[in-house]
Amino acid sequence: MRTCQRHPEQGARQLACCGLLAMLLASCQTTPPQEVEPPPEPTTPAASATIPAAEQTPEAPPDTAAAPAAPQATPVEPAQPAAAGTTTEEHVQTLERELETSYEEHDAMLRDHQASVRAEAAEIAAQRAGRDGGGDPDEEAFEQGGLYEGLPGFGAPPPDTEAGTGTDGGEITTAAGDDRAGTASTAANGGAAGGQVGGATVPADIPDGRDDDIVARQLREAAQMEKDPELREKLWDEYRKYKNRQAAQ
Amino acid sequence: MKLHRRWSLALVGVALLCGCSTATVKSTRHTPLVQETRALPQSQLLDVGVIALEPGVEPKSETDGQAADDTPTTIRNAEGYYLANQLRGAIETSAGWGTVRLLPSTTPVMDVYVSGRILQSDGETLEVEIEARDSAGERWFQRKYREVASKYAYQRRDATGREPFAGLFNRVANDLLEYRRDLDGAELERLRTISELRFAADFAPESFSGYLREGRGGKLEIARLPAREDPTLAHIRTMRERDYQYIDTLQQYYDNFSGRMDEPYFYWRSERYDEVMATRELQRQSLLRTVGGIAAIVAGIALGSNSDSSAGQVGAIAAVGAGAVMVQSGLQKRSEAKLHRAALEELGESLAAELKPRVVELEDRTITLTGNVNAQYEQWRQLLREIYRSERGEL
Repeated sequence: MRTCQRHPEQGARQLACCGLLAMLLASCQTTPPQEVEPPPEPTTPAASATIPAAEQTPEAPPDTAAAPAAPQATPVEPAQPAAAGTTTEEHVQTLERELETSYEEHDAMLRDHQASVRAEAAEIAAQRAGRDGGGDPDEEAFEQGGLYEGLPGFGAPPPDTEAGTGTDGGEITTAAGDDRAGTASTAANGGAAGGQVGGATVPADIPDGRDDDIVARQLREAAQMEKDPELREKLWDEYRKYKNRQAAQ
Repeated sequence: MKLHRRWSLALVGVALLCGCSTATVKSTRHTPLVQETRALPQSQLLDVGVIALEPGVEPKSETDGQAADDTPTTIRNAEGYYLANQLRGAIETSAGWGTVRLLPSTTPVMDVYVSGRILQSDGETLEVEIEARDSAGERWFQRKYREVASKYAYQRRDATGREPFAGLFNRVANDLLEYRRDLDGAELERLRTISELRFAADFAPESFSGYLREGRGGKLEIARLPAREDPTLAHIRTMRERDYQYIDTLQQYYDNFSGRMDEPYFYWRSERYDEVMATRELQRQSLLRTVGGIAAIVAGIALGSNSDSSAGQVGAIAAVGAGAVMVQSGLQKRSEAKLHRAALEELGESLAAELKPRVVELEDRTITLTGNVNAQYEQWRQLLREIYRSERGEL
C-alpha cells in the first residue's frame, strides 16, 4: 500500500527531471557555435557560418550544406538522421562543391582588389609619363643592365647576316620569322642538341621556343644570327636569364 | 730664441691653413648585379619573400659627434617598404629565383625569407642588416651592408627612379644567389617540398602535420611524403595558387606605393644629402677654425713675448688678430650648421606630411586584403577538416 502511494510522487519527479533535462539539451543544441568564433571579416559570412553548423550536424542533408545563402535556416539536429540517405562520397562531393564555390568567391574578391590596384598603377604611370614627357616606360627597363642593347628590334644596327639586312629601326624581317618557325620544327624533330638553324647553332639546353614572347624571340633570333661565338654565347645567356624570369612569374 | 720663433711662425701657418680642405665622396665602387645564366628547372626555382625592413634607426643625439637624426617615424616606416621593394627588385632581376615578392610578414609560405632593419639612412649613407633564412628554418646569412652614395648619384639627368644605393641591394642579391648556387638540385627541391608541406600542414593539419618533423636545432625535416594522387594535396595546390595570387596583389599595392614615393623620396634624399654634407663641412670648418684660431692667438702671444724687434711685435699682433678672426669665423660656421640642421628637420616634416596618408592607405589596404583572405583561408581549413573527417567516417 505504502509502495503504491509513493509511486505517483516518484513518477512526477522523474518526469520533471526529464523535462528539465530535455529543455537544457534543447537549448544546447540550438546555440550556434559560430557565435563563439566569428569570422575576422564579413566578406563570406554565409559560407563561413555554414561550416561549423555542418560540423555540428554531420548528417545534415547535402542540399542544406551546399546552400551558403541560408545557413541560419539550417536545422541543427545532431541526433536526427537527416542525412540518412547520404553516403560519405556524396557528402564529400558536397563539401568539395562548397570549396569550389569558395574559390570563386576568393577569386572575385581578388579580382576587385586587382582592378583597383591596376587602375592606380595606370594613374601613376600616366603621371610619370606626363612628367617625363611621354617616354616609353619599357625603355627604362631595357636600359637597366643594358640587357637588350644592340639587339635587332631595339633600334640598334643589325648583325651582318644574309637575312638580317631588313632589321634596322626595330623591324623584324620575315626571314627572321621564318628562322623561328625553323627552330620550332627542328626542335620538334629532335634536332635541338647542337642543331643548326638558318646557319646558327642552338645550344642543347635551349628549349624549342614555341612559348617565346616577343622579347625572347628577338633574343633568340639575335643569338642565332650572331657570328661571333663569344657574343653569341652572351646572347644565349641573356635568353636563358629572360626565360628564367618568365618562368618565375 | 730663433728656433722658438720659427716654431711659432710654423704654428701660425698651420693654424691659418686649417679649414681649407674638404671631404666629399665623388665616386663609390658600384657593385654590379650578378645574374643567373643557367636555365633552372621549375622544380628548383625557390620563391623569395622579402619582408618590409624594420625602421631600426634610433634618433641620434649631437653628442654622438654627428648631426642629430630627426627623421620622422613616418619616413622611416615608408623607407622600410620602399627599400625592401628595391631589394626585391634586385633579387628578382638576378634571375635565379622563382617568385620574388615583398611581404608584410613571414605568414605567407615562401622558400626563402629575406628580412632586416635599417641601421642608417640619411641620403649619404645607407646601412642595413639583412638576414636570409629558408623555409626549413636554416639561416643562410646575417650581414651588415653599408654604402655611401656618390655625389653624382643625385646629379644624373633623369635620376628619379634610379636608386642611389643600387650597389648595396646588388650586393645582397649577389650574396643570396651565391648561397643558392652552393645548394645542389636535390637540396633546392627539398626546400620547395618543405614549403609545400608547411603550407599543407597549415591548411590541413589532420592530413599533413606528420609529414614534417623538427630536426636538430629546430630545423624542419621531411618525415615522409604524401601520395602524388592525394586528393587533399590537389586541393592544397589549388589553394596555394590562390595564395600566390594574393601575394601578387599585395605586391601590386607595394609597387604602387613605391611608385608614388619614388619622386618625393628621391628629392628628399638628394636635398638631405646636400644638407648633410653642408652640415658636416661647416661643423668641421667650425672646429678647425676655432682650434686654428686659438692656436694662432697662442702662437702670436708667444711670438710677441719672445721678440724684441718691432717687426716681431707687429707680426705677433697680426697673428693674434688673425686668430681672433678665425675663432669668430668658426663660431659663425657653427651657427650656419645649425641652420642646415633646421632645414633638414623641415625637409623631413614636409616629406612625412606627404607620405603619411600614403603609408596609412597602404597599411589599410594590405590589412583589409589580408583580413579578407584570412577569413577565406579559415573557411578552407574548416572545409578540408570536414572532408578529412568524412573520408575517415568520423562524421
